[in-house]
Amino acid sequence: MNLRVVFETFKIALKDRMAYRTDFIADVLIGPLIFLVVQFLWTNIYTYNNITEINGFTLNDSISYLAVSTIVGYFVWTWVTTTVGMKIKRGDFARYVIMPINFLDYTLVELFGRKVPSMLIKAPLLFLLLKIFFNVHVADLPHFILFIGSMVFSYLLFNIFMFIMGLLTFWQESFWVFNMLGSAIIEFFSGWLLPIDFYPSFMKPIIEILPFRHIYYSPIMIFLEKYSISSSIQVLVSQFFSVIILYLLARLILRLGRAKFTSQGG
Amino acid sequence: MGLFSYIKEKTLINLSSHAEYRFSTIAVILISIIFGFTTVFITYSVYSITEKGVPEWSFYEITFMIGIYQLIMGLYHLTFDIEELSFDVKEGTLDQKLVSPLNVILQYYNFNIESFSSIIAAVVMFIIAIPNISLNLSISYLVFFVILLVISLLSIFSIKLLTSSTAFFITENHSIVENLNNIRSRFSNWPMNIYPKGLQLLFATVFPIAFICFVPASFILGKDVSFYFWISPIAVILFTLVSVKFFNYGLGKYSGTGS
Repeated sequence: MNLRVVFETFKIALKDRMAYRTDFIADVLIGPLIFLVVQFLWTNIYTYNNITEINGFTLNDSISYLAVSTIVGYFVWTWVTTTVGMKIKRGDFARYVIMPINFLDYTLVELFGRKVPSMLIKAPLLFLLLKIFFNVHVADLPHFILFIGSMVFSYLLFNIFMFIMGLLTFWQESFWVFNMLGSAIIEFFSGWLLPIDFYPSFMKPIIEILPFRHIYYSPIMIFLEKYSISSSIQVLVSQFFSVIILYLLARLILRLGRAKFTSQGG
Repeated sequence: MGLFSYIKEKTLINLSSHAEYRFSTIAVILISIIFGFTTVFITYSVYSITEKGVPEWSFYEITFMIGIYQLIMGLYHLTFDIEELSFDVKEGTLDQKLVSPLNVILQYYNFNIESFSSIIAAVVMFIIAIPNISLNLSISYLVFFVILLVISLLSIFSIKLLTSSTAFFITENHSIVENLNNIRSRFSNWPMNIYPKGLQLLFATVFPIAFICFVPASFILGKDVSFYFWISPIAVILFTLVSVKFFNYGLGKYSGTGS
């Protein structure tokens, strides 16, 4: 993928987003207000139960976890399932069959370009506000660097998984359903809603097997310095292998879907 | 076309389009039921890792309250889709509604069969909660409870109308609508007593989300709540009037896309 193409895509996405400034500003300003509910809820839970720690998490840890979870969302969430689903449903996918580019790689880079304004403007602004008003934990430099590395894998894991969900449109046209299904899986198995340490015990073995914890839980735990440097590196390695496995799976499903697409006369 | 014919036509169109995509409709309903349980899941986790959980409310009482929230949201979305207003203003398709002799707001009637997911989720939550809580089930209480649910529906409608009407002034209002919806859903899904008094008062009056599920649940559960929650029905009615005024003001400013 040409770097100039990436840069141009970023410029267009930024221009498009900034065309509606009021909406953008409202998004940045109202976002932290939603976070108040987290603050009140968890403060009440810790105070009412007269505890300083829950499964290794202090009140500040819990609040920081949920704050960083919001930030991670700004980095990873894209409309990849609907983008892929729509291209298949409308027949635009045919273009990628005849073009000398890989549909999966192209989609990942294109969506990353669209995501950059959110990563570079919204996420730091929101983090600053959360730091000022909620005293959110800030990682030291080594953990921060590892966190950024982990976020790259997190982005890839989320988007390759949701890309696979989009590919299911080859067999069943309702891509919206797959988007919801993928979102539900990530919502409950990635540690987005809560630290996995807070989950009921019957769910933990399932989460350990699945790769989704690496989307939210792992990078956040690195940021909160809950993992040592060596453990963090191990997490990155584990994330890397999860990405490779999912990537190969996506390529396989893409090949199968492509055959199906051709057989339909698309 | 009269209002009833319009409702009948739109219901039939929506039903036939859903019948066309049966797999999708059933799958969306099933997955939405799972989504409906998000807060119940968080609540369950909180009660499994702490001794007493959330102040003054048991797990089953919160589940019951969230059930009311799901029921109200299900009933609202089953019949109405005022959020479409933002899209209509942005794309200029509001023009089509303006030339119709029917009231513009009423034209946002929309029979959305997928909203049954919220109602099913609510029923499941009630089945989980009711055997483990004590409810005031006398006839007078039940009648008043139904009235509270109607006011709760009005509260949802007025908040959505107000937020959607911002489209008249800033065209792209997606983030505002989404964020305000988030505030509404996140804050109203927990008992109001976890919030500071000032915020409770705000949610009982200026932005009356306390009425969506907290007040009806507290009433039927026989909970002792601050007096200002009981004046919130008046706030809801006033808020509805302000929302309709704001909508009409925006409509007056609307000039279409010119296309």
